[in-house]
Amino acid sequence: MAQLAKRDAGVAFDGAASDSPHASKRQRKRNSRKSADESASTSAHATSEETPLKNGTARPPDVQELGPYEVTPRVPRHEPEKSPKSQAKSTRAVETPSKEKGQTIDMTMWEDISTDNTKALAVKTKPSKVSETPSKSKKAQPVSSDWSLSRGHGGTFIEQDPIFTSDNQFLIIPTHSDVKIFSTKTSLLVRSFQVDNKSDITNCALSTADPSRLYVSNSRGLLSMWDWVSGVILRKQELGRGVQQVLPIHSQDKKEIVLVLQQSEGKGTSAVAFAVDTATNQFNQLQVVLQRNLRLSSIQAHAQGSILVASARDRILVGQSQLTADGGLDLTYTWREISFPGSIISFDAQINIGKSKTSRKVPFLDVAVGLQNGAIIHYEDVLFKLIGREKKNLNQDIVGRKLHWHRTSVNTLKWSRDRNYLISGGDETVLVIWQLDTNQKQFLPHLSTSILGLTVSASGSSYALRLGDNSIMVLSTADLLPSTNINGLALGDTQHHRAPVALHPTAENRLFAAIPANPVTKGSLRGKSSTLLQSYDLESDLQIGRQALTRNMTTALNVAPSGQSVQEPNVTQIAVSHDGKWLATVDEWQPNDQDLDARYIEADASRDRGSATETSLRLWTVNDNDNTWELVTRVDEPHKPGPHSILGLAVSPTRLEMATIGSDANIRLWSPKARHRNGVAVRNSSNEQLYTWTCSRTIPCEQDASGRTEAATWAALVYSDDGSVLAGSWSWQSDSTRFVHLIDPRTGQISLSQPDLLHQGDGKMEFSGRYLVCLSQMLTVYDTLTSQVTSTISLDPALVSPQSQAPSFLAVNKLDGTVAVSISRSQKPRSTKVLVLNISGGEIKPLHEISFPGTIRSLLASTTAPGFLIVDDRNVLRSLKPSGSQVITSVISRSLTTHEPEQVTKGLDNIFGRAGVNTVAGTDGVVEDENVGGDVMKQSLTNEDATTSSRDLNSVLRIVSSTQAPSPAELFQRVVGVLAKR
Amino acid sequence: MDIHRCRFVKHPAEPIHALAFSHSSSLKGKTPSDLRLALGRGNGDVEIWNPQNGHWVQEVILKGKKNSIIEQLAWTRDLIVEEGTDGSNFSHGPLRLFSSSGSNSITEWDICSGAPKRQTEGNFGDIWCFAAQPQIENPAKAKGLESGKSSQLLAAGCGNGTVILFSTEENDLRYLRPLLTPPVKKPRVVSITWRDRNTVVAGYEDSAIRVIDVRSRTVVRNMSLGKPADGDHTIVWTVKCLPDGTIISGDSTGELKIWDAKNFSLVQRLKSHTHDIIDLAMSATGDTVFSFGVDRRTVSYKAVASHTGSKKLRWAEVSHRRYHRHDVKCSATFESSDLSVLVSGGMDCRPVVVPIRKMQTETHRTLSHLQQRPVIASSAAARLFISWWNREIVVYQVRKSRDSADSTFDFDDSTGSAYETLTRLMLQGDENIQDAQISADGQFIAAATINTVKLFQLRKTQAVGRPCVRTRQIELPSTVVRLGARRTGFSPDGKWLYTIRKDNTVALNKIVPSQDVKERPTVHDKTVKLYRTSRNPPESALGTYRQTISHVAFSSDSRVLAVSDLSGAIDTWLLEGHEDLDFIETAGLDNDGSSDSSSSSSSDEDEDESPVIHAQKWIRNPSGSHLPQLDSSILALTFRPSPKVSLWNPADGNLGLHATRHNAQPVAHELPSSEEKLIAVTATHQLVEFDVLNCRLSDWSRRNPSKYLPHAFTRLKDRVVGCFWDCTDRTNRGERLWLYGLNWLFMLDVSQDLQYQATKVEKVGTLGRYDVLDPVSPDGKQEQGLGPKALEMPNANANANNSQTQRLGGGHHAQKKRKRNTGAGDAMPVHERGTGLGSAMLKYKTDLGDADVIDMDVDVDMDQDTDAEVDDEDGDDMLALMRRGEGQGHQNQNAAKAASSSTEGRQSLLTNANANANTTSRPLYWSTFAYHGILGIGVIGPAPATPADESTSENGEEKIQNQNQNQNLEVVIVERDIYELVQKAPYGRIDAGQDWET
Repeated sequence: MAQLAKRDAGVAFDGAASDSPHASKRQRKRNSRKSADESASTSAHATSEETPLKNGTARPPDVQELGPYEVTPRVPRHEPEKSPKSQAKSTRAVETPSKEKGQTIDMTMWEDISTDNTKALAVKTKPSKVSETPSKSKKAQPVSSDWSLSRGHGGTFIEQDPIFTSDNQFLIIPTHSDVKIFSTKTSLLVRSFQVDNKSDITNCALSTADPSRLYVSNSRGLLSMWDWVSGVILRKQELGRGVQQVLPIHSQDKKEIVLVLQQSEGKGTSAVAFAVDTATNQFNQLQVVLQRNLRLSSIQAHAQGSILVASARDRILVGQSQLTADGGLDLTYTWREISFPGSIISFDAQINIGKSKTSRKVPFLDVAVGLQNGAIIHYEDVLFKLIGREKKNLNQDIVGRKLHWHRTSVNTLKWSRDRNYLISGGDETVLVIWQLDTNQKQFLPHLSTSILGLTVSASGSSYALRLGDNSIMVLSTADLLPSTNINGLALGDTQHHRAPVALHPTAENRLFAAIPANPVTKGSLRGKSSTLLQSYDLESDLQIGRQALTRNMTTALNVAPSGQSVQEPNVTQIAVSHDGKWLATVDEWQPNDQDLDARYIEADASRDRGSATETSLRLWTVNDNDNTWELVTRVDEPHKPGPHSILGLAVSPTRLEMATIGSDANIRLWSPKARHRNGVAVRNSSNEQLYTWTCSRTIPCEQDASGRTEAATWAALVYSDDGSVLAGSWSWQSDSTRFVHLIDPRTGQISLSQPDLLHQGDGKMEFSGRYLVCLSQMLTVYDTLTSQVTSTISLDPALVSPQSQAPSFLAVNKLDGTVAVSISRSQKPRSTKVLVLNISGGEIKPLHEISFPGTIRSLLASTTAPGFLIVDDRNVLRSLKPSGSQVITSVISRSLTTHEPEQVTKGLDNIFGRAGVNTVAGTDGVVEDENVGGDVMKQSLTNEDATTSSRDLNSVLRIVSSTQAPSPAELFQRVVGVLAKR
Repeated sequence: MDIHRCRFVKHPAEPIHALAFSHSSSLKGKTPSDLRLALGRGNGDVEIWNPQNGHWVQEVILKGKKNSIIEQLAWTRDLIVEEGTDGSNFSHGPLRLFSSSGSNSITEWDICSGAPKRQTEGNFGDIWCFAAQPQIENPAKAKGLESGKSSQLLAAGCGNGTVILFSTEENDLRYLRPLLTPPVKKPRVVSITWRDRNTVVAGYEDSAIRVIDVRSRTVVRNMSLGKPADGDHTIVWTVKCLPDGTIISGDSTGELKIWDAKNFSLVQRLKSHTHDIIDLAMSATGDTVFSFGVDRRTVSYKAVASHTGSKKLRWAEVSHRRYHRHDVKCSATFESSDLSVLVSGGMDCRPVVVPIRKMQTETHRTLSHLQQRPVIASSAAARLFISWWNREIVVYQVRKSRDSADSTFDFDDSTGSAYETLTRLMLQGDENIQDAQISADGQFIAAATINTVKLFQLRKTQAVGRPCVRTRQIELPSTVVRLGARRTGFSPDGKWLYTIRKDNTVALNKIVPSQDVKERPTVHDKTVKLYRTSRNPPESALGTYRQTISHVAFSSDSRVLAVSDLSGAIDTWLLEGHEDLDFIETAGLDNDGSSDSSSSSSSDEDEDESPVIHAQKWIRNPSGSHLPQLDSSILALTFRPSPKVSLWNPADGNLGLHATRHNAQPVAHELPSSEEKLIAVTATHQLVEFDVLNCRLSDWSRRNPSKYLPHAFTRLKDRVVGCFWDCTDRTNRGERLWLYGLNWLFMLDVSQDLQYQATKVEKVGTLGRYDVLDPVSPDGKQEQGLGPKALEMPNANANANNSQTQRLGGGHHAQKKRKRNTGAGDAMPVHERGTGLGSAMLKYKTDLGDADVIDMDVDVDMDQDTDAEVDDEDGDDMLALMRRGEGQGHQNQNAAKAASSSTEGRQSLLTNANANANTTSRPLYWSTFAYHGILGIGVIGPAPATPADESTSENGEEKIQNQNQNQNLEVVIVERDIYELVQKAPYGRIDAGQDWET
């Protein structure tokens, strides 16, 4: 039996499955071939593309004869395949698995890639189109068809300044995978669409001809044109080489000229001009405008494209061309390249259009350049003076005005629209507004994180700042008050470590993450120590709150007189107690090495030096009033002092108890104790008992540490599901047998020590019922009742440590006992495999396997529903859920929900949220399905003590924005699920 | 050489309160040769600097008085109108220098004699500011000019709010009349300027600027600055007028305000300072303004035309920088075709020179806070040295170094300090000391002020177990005392005391040692007065200023005296005869009488009439011709130590001579016979050696013209301050001439020939942050042709980056000769140009196939200058090499060979042309920058072996002759760094830990 299971799993892991990287590569090849065909013969179908294919019916079987032309113009509908239930349904409805449909499935896979990211602003389609949804499932693995990976939420915004739409109503901000459109009024996501899931978005630009058009460029060389208002892709063009920037420069008579900046191997950068016909959406390559052996970082166009300004490392390139008599653009530019004393971080140029009395042709071009050393140099009328230099006209002295306030690099620099001000930002967390005429500076300090990008809106009435904590802030120019705040998940770059994240055990979709103050930087200036706690709502993609966990130097002086940055403590572990009322964090602070040099001599061991490390365990309780955490207890040096003295933190799933595992081979249990003063219980203002946490038990495991002087480097600690067993294991640098100890936390007795479950190095353990699942270089399942290893799978050595530096993860969902394992390769090409297993009877039964590029930061088991949460290295959140089971289980588990996440409900979207209170406005198709639920809720709400079901309904119907709105079918199922519970 | 590094001398530095250039800027012509900068210090001294060619030579210090501060300085120059047949001819009179010193008077200085000339008071309180009326710019067009002189008025703002006028007519300084009676509240006038010849603009402390018409004596406009955010009044610290009449003002709010020229309205205000603006300066054309403030910033502004093509100018800050370490108090600008500098000074005592025209491409230069002459003197025999400042002389003794063989190791002493302050001498009277010297044997100290000369005897004693000295004053002849001196000192043998008087007369007095130790030595009552030969200097606005004697040198046997002046002229006198202490001076009476009596003034001109003292007589150098005049003022003058005693001094004196009828007391007329070699270093750092007795260049100097001087010397920017000799070991070390400036020390072995400088290192380009140096091969071609080649192959990708770097980064330097700067620092490296662009621009279409390189640094004027400077040096090269005897073999060859070849008369040298000779031979030169702020260097050892063979001590120029080769020269290097001077941090706010130089 065990052997069988092993074989199954081996099949799953060793790449025989069609979804393995090889298979996907094959598929990719095929797709790119198709897209090449497509670009070659676009003209033939140009007109037909305009008419979106009516949805609804399933695709005709001869779809691949039509080729991919069908694919692109398809009107993106609300694609419910994201929701597991409907998908499951559709799978059942449409798919009749048959061999001869293999090709079709390949085709549909391809369509998914291109279209699954489009969503309508408001759901207007009828729910009848369920059957249309193509399946994503793999025929080779029927078991996996029950699981689905959701589209990514969140994500890190790419290094591009936010784009204001022309009416200032929306902000277009791309992440690496999606283009997201936010409303400036409500700060909420309005729409997002995915361009290509194989490569990264590098740049976005709004068309100058049609403000509803958006050009998106891709690292793989895909240039696409979108109608962002409707979210329709208009055209895509494969350019071959990676596109760095796309820039519409000129438009005339339905023809727009777009400049594309491409990096080419060994040849530096080339800027190529394309003509885009706005009527037919065709791309035509016109001319190479610039070919230069330099890495151009960005390019700007002015005066209808007749002036181009680009920057490379320490150069500014100014290209000048003429507008022809009929308003066209001559594409032969004369470039003038000048060098600067330092590397250019940011620049901005402007054309000063004044009524010149002299009839000179050269426009007044002002250029301001922000340098690495903090200086801003501002040149007035620089092009004219450069030409003057050529003609040996010495009267025009080129004067660079130096504005030096920033101490470190000027990350962003922009002119105000009225050209009287320069606005700059940098790592000082201060927005500086330079009034050029009076030399006065205006400051907006204490932005709490460095400023990376800045956009001035077209009317000049607001500034959009892209900040170092993966957030966007829109300030009004008049009073400098923020009007819009968009916060993404801001996990920092934690290499070799498990990212400090935790899911709220009871509240749905609440993620806690310890984040650094500025995880996103231009250049790494500060140590990325996690100092803040961000609580994040997964469903609505919103930050709920943020608070400091340790001292931090965000706005204080953070540079020592020696020029070194001052170190901040780093939060390494966080955990939330089973009732969600307590939070435990472990932070560690190490002083700079140079500061310690005076205290030690050369011969001192590094271990002695490490004793300057300050470690503390902090315990926080939730403050229900304002939803923040209050510090209750701080334990300094809970284990033997030294670097990385706490290697693991576990919370008991049943009791208020926490356990820490230290590098000194001790496990300490911590439990709360009511505070008493002089025999009287200490209570707070609301007459609640106050607690303090103390170490209730120390469990030494000396036999492990015997004869060792060094500290353990890795450890794993986990509670069993009922909290009755604690499993702990250490690993030392020196090679030896590694034991897993099973400990009774009530007595502190080591009841069993089992070798050979874990290998050396980073190992993970989780309990799944009676089985202990151990993940190191192999996956082992150990039956704790029979003390037998029931099954073992050796994993692909390239994907686990020590070959792979990327961490592997193990998570067990407590609700259905499924196990998720992720292993990844840290070398390029980076890839991650996630495998969902079911352990029943000690056998490993693979349920689903997915693999995707990139590594992941964390893999968490959902606490309120079956399924798992994957956080990848670009802060994209994906949930892996079984289909069909969500509603029921979530209802069961939600009985303990006590406090609702305080979510902002604004705008159109709160229709759904208020549906329970008011009579539902009958506007949508949804209503028909929902009427029942609404009635029920009304009834239930008449009851003063809210029943669980009404709360559940509330949470089902509480949808923050339209993008989060489920499909009507799914909503119907949810509501039915709630009602069924009743 | 053993070095004692001394930092205990508490020589004070004085803050700079005033700066003034003698000429107004003119961009058309070259820098006038008589351009000087007057710099006033906090102790009342006025220093006259010569900024010519960016050398910044401090020529003369006009010493001030006790408790006086130079608050402000101004130069005037009268316009002389002569009626001629073809209209009026115009010429300019001499330059006159005026100062105010915080009291109610204005002083005029006589820069020729170095003393205040006259002083005039106004009775309206302290004079806070004054300004000289501008000269008539275009006299030919001006109407109503009468024949005679047209002088400039001085307008002064007083403490009670009155503006008064002084007249400088007829070479006089008189109080003329009040120009404006004070406003009601009597606010102080803190700043004043002339807008044109008829308009005075004055800034008050009551937030007002008043424009006064001189002719009508009325206020044309009262401009109010308004109330500041804190405090009651805005103090208008400075007000200036641009050439177009625009008024600019700086005040206590730190704002630069710009007022319209016509309607006096406030046009613009620029806030660049965090604290008060103290002074303003502007360029000659008025398109650049500088402001200086208490926050140490120097801010530069430029006028930019408003974009829309209107003529309206807006001002904008270009950059700011903290050149100073403390408050800035004053500034001055001068621009000509080859000089374009802004000088600022303040509490940190150091003038800072900032280029104006090349502001963004040249560096600034900080001049030293120390005087450009050594203010210490030492005695090698007594191991003493003295330093002096203001009215005080301090005598120090330096302990011998412990490892020296003859010192006994004493544990008690080892804990004590390595030096002793033996005594302090305070001079009576108010005047600051001009010069002080200690005699070589350490017995006497001479001190001179402008009004008196004093001579002290030092006697070493012990007091409480510690060494100390007692001093007593020696009477000097009353004429010597009465006339004062600007220079004084002793001959190396200690027998002659010389004083240089205000009128540049050299006076010599013989010191007669007493027979008994206890008795005072006496001074011979006859004074030898030596007059310099009259030269006909070119007409100069400075009068006889350039004839001011700056340096005096005695030969090592004290028989030759040389003096040099600011114009580069040298005069020499010889002492003839043998010393005979028993010489009966019967004939001397006539001479004595004639020199004292006024009736025989005609005989004063006759130099033969100098008295015979002890059968010796000073005569003018009999070789019959002058030494050639050098190109610029002489900064160091010294005789090369002679190994031979030049004139054997017979024990019996003049016994062999016979008395005749005309010559009852026979005197020998023997002259020193040795080759007396005089070395002079000029302000352009030319090093010339003269054969004094033959009045020609010495052989060494003919073989080694100054351009052969090593690059390590020619690149020095700070001028030479002093020199001393190290001849203790001629065979192994040669004759080492040590020259030093305020921050460098340089050794040159003048017993060898200099290297022929064939290899000139030129900068080719930059590689990253480093300059690439490329040796130029002898035929003048570079190893790699840069410009053309790089242009040919821009498409070759392998080299493209490299050639790009060179072209944009400064590769063009290789194609050009080095440009001379505009008077301040050198050209900035391209990567450091504060705000400037690179030096070249690329122009191309699409790709680099057709790229042009455009030089951004083109400056037509400068190129012409450079061409003019490069003259026919090749001919000199050939001559000098031919004189070395080996010319034809080595002209075009490697430099190493030429260097190793040594010539005639130097048998001790290895003369083979082998390249190995270089390694075995003595080092030719050596230099270091290890010492900062060198106040002076004194030789304190070894003591001369025989009393007859004494060392010279004069102006810090030390001459040691010692046959004992085991003894090392022992010197004290007295340092006085600025960090020890500016101790009080200003306000305690600026010198924070993370202060930046911005």
